[in-house]
Amino acid sequence: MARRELRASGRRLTLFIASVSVGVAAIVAVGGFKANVLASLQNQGRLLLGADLELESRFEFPPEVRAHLDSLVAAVGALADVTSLPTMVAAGETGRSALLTVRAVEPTYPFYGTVETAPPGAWAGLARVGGALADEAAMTRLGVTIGDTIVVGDRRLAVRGRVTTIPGDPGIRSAVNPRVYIAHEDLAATGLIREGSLVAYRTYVRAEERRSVFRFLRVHREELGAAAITWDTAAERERDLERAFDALSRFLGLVGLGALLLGGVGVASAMHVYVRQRRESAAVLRCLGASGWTLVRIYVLQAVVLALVGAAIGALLGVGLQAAVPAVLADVLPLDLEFRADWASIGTGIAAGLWTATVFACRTILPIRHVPALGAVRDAAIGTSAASETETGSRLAERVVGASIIATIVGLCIWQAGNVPVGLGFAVGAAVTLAALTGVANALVALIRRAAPRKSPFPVRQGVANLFRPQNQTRAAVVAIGFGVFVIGTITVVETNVRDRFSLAALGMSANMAVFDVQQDQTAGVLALLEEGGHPPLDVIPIIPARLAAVRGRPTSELLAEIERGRFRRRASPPDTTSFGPPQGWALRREYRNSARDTVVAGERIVEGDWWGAEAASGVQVSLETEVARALRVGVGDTISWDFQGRTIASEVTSLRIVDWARLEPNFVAVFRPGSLSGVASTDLILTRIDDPEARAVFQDRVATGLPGALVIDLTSIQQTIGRILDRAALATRFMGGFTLFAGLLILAAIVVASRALRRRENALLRALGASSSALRTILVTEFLVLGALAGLTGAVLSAISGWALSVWVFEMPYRVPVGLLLVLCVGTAIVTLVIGALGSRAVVRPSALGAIRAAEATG
Amino acid sequence: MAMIVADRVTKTYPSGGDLLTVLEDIDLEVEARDFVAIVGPSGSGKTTLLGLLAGLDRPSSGTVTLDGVRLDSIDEDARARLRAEKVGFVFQTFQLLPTLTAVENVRVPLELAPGETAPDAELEARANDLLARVGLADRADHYPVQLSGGEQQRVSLARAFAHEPTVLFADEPTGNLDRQTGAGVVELLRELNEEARTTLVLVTHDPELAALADRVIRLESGRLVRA
Repeated sequence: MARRELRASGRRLTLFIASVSVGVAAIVAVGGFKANVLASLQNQGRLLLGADLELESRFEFPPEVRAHLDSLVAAVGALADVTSLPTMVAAGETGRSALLTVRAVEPTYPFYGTVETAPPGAWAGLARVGGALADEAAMTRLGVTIGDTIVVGDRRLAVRGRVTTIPGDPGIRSAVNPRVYIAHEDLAATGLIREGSLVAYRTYVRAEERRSVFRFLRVHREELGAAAITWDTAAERERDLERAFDALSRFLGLVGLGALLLGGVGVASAMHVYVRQRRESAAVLRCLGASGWTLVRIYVLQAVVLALVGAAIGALLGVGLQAAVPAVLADVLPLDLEFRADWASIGTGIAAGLWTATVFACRTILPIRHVPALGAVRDAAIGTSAASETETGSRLAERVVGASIIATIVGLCIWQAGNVPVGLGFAVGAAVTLAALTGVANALVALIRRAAPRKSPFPVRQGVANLFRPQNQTRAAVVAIGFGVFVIGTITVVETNVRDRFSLAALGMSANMAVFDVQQDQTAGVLALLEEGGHPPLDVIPIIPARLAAVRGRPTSELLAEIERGRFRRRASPPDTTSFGPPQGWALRREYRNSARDTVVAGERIVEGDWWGAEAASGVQVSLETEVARALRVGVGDTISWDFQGRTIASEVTSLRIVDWARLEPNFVAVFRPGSLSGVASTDLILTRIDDPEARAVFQDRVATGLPGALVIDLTSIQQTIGRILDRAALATRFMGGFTLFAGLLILAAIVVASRALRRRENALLRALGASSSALRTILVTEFLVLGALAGLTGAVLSAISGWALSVWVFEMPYRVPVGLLLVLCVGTAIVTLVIGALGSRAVVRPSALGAIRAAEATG
Repeated sequence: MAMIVADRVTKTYPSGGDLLTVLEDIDLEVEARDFVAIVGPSGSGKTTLLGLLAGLDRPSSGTVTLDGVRLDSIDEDARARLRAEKVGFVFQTFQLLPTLTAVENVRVPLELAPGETAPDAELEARANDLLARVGLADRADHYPVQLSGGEQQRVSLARAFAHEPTVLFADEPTGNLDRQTGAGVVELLRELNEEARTTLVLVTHDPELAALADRVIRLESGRLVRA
């Protein structure tokens, strides 16, 4: 019976199937993506690092650490050194230069994975034949190709190949920081390693057994810490990445779940329409002896079959989407994603879709058991008797289905979130969001009803009035579409604010070029170059490199020796929260790049002590950044002695500052009172603004060729790179958000279909009363435009609020409402709603006026 | 000149592979201010004929002329304009717009009338007058669902006369009402028609209602039996 009924339904149930498909596709795509990432992590964990252990320091490793490493390697594996530093590299032929990272590598690096080069095998040849390799970004910036010569420090090296992929290094990283690779043994000859160079010394260890790495770290942890050596293991990198992906996939999963639940609502709407259309058949069946529950079984069976078809289509779509993800995220992912259909995700997606669709459909199917047999004889009986019988009959079934729906929602939330508290939190969050959406929707709907212009032409008023038909679904449509708009709007609002945060202006930079490490005798030259090009220098900031000589009267060497002997070990925990423990090794060992100035700048705040005034003062005064002050266990009034390249000078800490390091505007851990450090060697940092990209390139080249040692950074390229990363991240999240909007629009389609008969009758009547075609079109356009605008506005208002909450509480950044973008979203929603409304109403826009009296005849 | 002229009007509909003839060779003239009742058994083509005379549909052959305008010579929008200007309707199922109040429903023909719409206050006053005339002054702001069947039909009558039509077509105006309410509606229809001196064409099953007409036209199987 169910099959025969279904056969007659045809296209009317397309919406049912589409609603299931969209939710299942979202769930399968996200689940499959997550499974692929986890599988890839398992297979490629070591490739993320290229080794089992990475040790890194700004300084050459102390001999005792080397000795420990040698003994580790002798026992279990091998090691390779990689030394990196930023420097200006020039093209030999054209002289064009760029700030690049030079990586000097030993031939055994990486231990895992293969460096792919063009031509193949160039990596292995690096140590054998010398020369240099460069990645695509470096070659583009220098304008060189394979075979050209580049100048790295004092050496001219032939470019022997292009590095296309390197294990654990996503493309986006090299876009930020383009690299040139040279053989480790050639590094000394470049003359790049000198006092003040920003060198990163890394040693990679391959260990046959991972346990030996953990043992090594456990035994030497303190010693490495004291020597300012940080470490990373393949296992840790795997875990970090797994956590990051887990958070991402959980977020995407929850958004997908939103699509599935909206799909459930779409199913309920579609089924509601279908069941209403089948009431007469149901009445006939009852006349012929079918019981109420037989009718329910017939329609539930149909719903299950349709849900199965929808879920299967959704699973196929989901797998297709999942296959597309690696291509979209290729530049951002640090590992190669292998696409594989994940049967577990497909199975759970289909099961979730099937179950959700069935319980939501049941809600609308149940009342059919009350359709009276009399309905077959007298149509009017269908509506009246059903209600009265429902009132008098048992509502237990309705209650059970209602409880099942709630249990399904909560259960799915917990399943997608991965744990009970987060799942419950999402379920509550969804309920709050729904309540807020409903509240805003109600307020806006009430407002439009009141504020609808009474003076506007009749078709416009009639279009607005149509939103308030008896038993209208206006609020449901506004909430359903509004939810999708809310998800996309929130992503857009947060994304815009993140972009704002990283704009040069927000980062406190009116400058877009920075020249570092300008020697005192070169400063005039740079200023002259700027003046020549008509670019005024915006700031000249002294950089005064120094190391610590003594803290509170105790020499640094003595403090470090104490740390190494472990005298403070017990009291040092937790090191960051107490000022009574010993100074931390890294803070004692590091080289400081300090400055001197007389004003507090934007992006910093004095939290203790006072900034110096204009009056004369004796002695050297310094203001310290709070984190470092805490690490050194010093406060206002304490003394710190600095080693300025051999000259030791004592200073008094007069204030502590909190610094916002996220800003591009240069800031410093230690800022001295100007004039108090006369005769100390320093370099200058010169900031300028050059708007023309060509002029920036010319300036960069001239600094590189004329001022050896100086580094030029084009800040606009950093900003562009951040923009590119955001683009990719936003694409994935917005795409998932699109699912929820799509699901909302499906619900709209169901509602439009449901009201089609009523609409046709209204239009036929208006036609009979003399309404023109254009008047009918205006009514239709007004109705759906206003509906879409209300939904858009509802979602936009809430996304502005949620965007504010996320920006202020999660991202801790200033907030602004991107009014223009939200307006575009509202207008877009209104137009899409209109298109769907118009498509669903094609048959009713040109009704036969005869329908007005035919309707009367039919019911008579 | 006659207000309505039907000349050899035939209406057929495709049915399966054949053509089903609903009306055949109908010749009819209705003079201005006449009250004509169309009667006949179910399926005899009464409503089809009413639709053709009112310009709601087009005959398969033959012509209909309404107030001097041949309806087959103008397109649907022009026919809609003509109806908005000269035709009023009363339907069996009242056909009020559910989204509008009683007074707003009465205003619809005034707002759809061709040419410049009268000032809002004028439209409102006219609609309210008519509602008062049908005894519903205190129900002006009620929505159709808040009104009884008889009240809805009275609103429908007010709406039919709102724009002072030349011809009024009524399709079973008492068909959905009980006898007493129906009698009240008929009485009201007669009064309004006499006041407005409108040509009235009415389809009915009810012999008593038909007896009130100046002329009765009988249809059987799509053919005119008596005119």
